Formats: sequence, C-alpha cells, structure tokens
Amino acid sequence: MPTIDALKDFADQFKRVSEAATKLDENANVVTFLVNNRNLVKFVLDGGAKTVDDLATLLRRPGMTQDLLVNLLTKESLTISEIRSTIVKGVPAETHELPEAIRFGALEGGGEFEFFGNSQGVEGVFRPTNKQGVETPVSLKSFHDVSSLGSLPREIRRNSNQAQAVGIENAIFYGEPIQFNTNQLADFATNGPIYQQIVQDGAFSKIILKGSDGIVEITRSGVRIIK
Amino acid sequence: MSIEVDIIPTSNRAIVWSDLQSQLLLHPLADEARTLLGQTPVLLELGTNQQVEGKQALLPTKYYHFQLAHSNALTLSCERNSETYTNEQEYLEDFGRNLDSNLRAYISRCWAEVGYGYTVGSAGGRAKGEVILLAALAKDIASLSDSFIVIKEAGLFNLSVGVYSPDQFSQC
Repeated sequence: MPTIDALKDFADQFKRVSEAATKLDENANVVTFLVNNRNLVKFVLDGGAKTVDDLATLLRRPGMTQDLLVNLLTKESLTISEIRSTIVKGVPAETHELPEAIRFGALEGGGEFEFFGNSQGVEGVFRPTNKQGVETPVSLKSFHDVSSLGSLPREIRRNSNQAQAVGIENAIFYGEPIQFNTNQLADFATNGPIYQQIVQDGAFSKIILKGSDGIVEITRSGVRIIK
Repeated sequence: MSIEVDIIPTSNRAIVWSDLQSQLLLHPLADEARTLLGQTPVLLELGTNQQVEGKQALLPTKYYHFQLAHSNALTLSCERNSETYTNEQEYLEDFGRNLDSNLRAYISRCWAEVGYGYTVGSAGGRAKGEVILLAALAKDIASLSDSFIVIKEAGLFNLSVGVYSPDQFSQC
C-alpha cells in the first residue's frame, strides 16, 4: 500500500508535470528543443513550469543555438539557473572560455560577462547584477592539463604581470584546476605565493580556483573554501 | 590568456629584434599569415607602445605586442623565472612529459642557468592567419635562442602536452 507521503509526492509531481505541459503549449521552441534532445526532458520533469520558462528565455538569447545549449547542459554540466544567471557578450577566443565565463558569473551572483575583442592579461569584464555600475576585469584559465600545483603560480603571475603592464588593477582571476581538491588548493595558496604575493601586489585582487569539490577564494584578506 | 606557448632557452644567446624580424619575413607562411605579417612588422612595448629598435635585444622583463598589416592580438613576453616563481625542474616534470628523464634534467639545468624564458600568445579578437603566425614566431624565437617550445594544453597545434625542439614543432 502506498503511504500518505508517497501519495503526496505523486500528487506534487503530477501537478508539476501538468503545469509544465501547460507551459509547453505556449512555448513551441522549447517543445522542438526537447523533441530533438529527449535526454533533457528530465530537466522539465524535475523543474516544472519554471524550467520551461527558463529554457524559452535561453533559447531566445542572441547567439544561443540549440547545439550550444545542449553542450552547456550536458558536456559542461552547467545548470539551467547557472546559464540563466549570466549573459555573455562578445566572442570568446577559445571554446572553453564560454562555460568558464558562465560558471564564474554564476558564482558571483549573476550578471553580464563581456569578452574583449583584443585583450592583454584579461579575457573580458564582468558586470554583476547586484552591483549597478561595477565593471571588473576578469582573467580566465582552464589549467586542465596541469599536473602539478607548482605550475599554478607561474601562470597566474604571468597573467597578472601582463595585465599590470597595460594598467589593469583590481581584476579577478578565475581558474579551473579541477584535478585538485579544495583542501589541496587552499593549503597551496595559503602557504605559497598565490596568497602571500600575487594577490597582494598584483593586478588581481581576487583569485578564484574551482577544484574538484568546491571553490577556493583568495583575496588580500585571506583564503577560504566555499563548498 | 587564450593561446600561449612557452619558449625555454638553453643558452644565453640574446635575440635581437632585427634578426627575429628577418626570420619571420623569410619564414614560409600560408597566404593569410603572410598577409597579416605584412612587409614591415613592428614590435611595440606593451603599455608604453614604444617601438623596439632593430638592434635592441629582447631581454627580461618586457611585454610586447605587434603592429602588423592588420589589427591582431599577438603578444610576446620575456620574463625572469624568479619573477614568476618558476622552479625549472618542477616545470619540466609537469610539462616535459614526452622527454626522457636525462633530457628533462639537461634542459632544466641549462634553463635555470639562463634564468628567463619567452612566451608568445594570442588573445581574443585574433586576426585570420594569426595562429599560424604565432607558430612561426615561436619556432623562430626558439631557433634564435637555442630554445625548446612548450605545449601546455593538449591539442594545440595537434600536439600533446610536451616540450619540443624547433624542428619537432615545425613538423606539426
């Protein structure tokens, strides 16, 4: 016999799917998207009508093709809310920079990331939604092929020096050394030049490193792990 | 930074801009890269935009960009290892994955004695032919300074992460 709780869960799910179905009637572009990408229907079953609205909004965004959205949701494992949080303008120099910019933007609470056409030391600027008028230069780095923590400071310092050479200051560095965990990254940053020197005197006032299990944020006042 | 290639010297032979300029102009290049390079490539210091004179050596610590026939995003830097916290042995152990341990140790020792390295890069908004020109630039710098070229991201120029001689690199 099903329990009362199980029946309530079923009723909630039924309501969610019914609402989503009603929304789908109003959004033919989302229906086409889901028909072409049936593995993504689970997002709608889980998220309901709001997810249909979100997908409709994303599919209307300039430059957002169906293929790109599928790639961001599946290969890059970005969530719909992460993708919605950050509008990307301009063209990244490398394909890996687009998901990096979105992940960075989502971490910062959402906003607008604009890639520069021609940049030195930074890839673009970020305008956070929650801080009107603020525009922060941002440097992006993947680090996917680095096998030693010792290689990180060189790359970050080089970016910092180059940014400083063109007068950039108070920028943010965002890197994804996901082959290391947050404890490894935090220990290394705290006890080495990333915290002790680079963030103190360079072009970057904040360095964000995404590890395998969370984020390490290094600022002039300290190092903290965010999970 | 978008595309970057490190160049690690094994001798103190300094590069003079006019030599590098001549090498680049002689380099066999595909049409788009040749058009981008133009007849008289100019090297400028980043920030000040001061033009580098022909006989001027490219020594640390300097950051440069290029004035070519078209707008471009090519950069060249020359930095001391001590300024970038570079431990030559650790660096070679990380990126010199294609080398045997003896050659890795030799390059590491020589590079530590030189004490600096070059990096060529291409940022966003790059021109047509710019990646080919970056490869030519890396090869010419490496040839003029007895250097090895370091690929730090798999797939760049269809190469694995590794340390390559100019000849190995030019076969890519």
